[in-house]
Amino acid sequence: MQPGFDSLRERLLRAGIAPRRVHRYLAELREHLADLTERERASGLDPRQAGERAMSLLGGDAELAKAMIDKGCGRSLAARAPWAVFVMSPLFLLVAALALNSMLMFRLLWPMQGLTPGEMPESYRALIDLSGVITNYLLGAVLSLGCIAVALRQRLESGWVWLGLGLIAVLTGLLGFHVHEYPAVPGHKAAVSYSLAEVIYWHERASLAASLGVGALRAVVLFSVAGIAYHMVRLRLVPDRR
Amino acid sequence: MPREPNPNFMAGVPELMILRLLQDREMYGYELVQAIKTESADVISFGEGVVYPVLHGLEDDGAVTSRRKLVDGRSRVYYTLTAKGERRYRQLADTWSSLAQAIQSVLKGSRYATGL
Repeated sequence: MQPGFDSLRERLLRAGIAPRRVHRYLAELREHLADLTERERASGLDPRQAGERAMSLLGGDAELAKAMIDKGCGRSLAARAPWAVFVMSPLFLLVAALALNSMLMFRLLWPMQGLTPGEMPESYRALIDLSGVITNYLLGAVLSLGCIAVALRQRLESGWVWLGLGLIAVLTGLLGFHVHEYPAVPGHKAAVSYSLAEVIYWHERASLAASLGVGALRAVVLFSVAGIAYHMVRLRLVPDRR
Repeated sequence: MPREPNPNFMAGVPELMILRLLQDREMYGYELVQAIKTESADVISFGEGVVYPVLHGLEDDGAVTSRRKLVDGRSRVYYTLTAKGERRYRQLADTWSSLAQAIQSVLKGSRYATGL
């Protein structure tokens, strides 16, 4: 066993023990090892012998890992219920973010009723643009990053991770936040509207096929980038799974 | 000489001994292991680090609580017995006492010795 307990850490994480619990266990083992080494030194052993004797008294990797794993305590939620962490949580966060954004937009756009798009203050326009960038581009990336971080931190090799990344890509690709400004044309009023899906115009008409196509393209790009990043980092962290 | 851990038979013993020792005062892991070794005259033997999963399990069950304390410049996690832990100790102690009596009785062979 290495003094830093690296191999024990890997064993425990791969067995689904929560990183926080692993951290605490290793901290306590290090403190215990320091006490043992100090005692062995006091008994007259040289530093190397004292260290080896202390490690032997502390227990081997297999014994220490088995004790924690068999105890069944400290298993992470991601190991116990990966569907909740990688599917339900992103879904919930996405809905919450869109709901929050909708409330914000409703509050912002309510006083704009009756104004033509040109009359909208610049600060409002900037805020709306920022909100659009966040929900349309950053939200999916942030959720994917969170999903990957949890999976890597806990050394998870679950298909749920890929399912989660796929779900995030599809939902954030298709859903989004858009403010449409309709200038005043003869027979119609000027208007500002808000929608949860990107409306693509094809030959001056809103096209569902084009909207779905753009959404699908965004989903594919996000899933590909996130998937490649996850795969590459995972290979570095868990080289024997190559 | 290499240490030989006791077999699976010992499952539950560290927990019982930890709860008993924590009845007297709060202790940290290393202290607990040394106390177990001293009290049992080194008969009960296990990898010393194994005590921590037992302590964590007891804490999860509410039988003990922990707090980090700085003593003599060293930071240590001290464990304290709770009322729930006290009740658990009594249950475990009763079970082990009954078991020990039953084993003693079998080892003495008093019931069947006269029939031989």
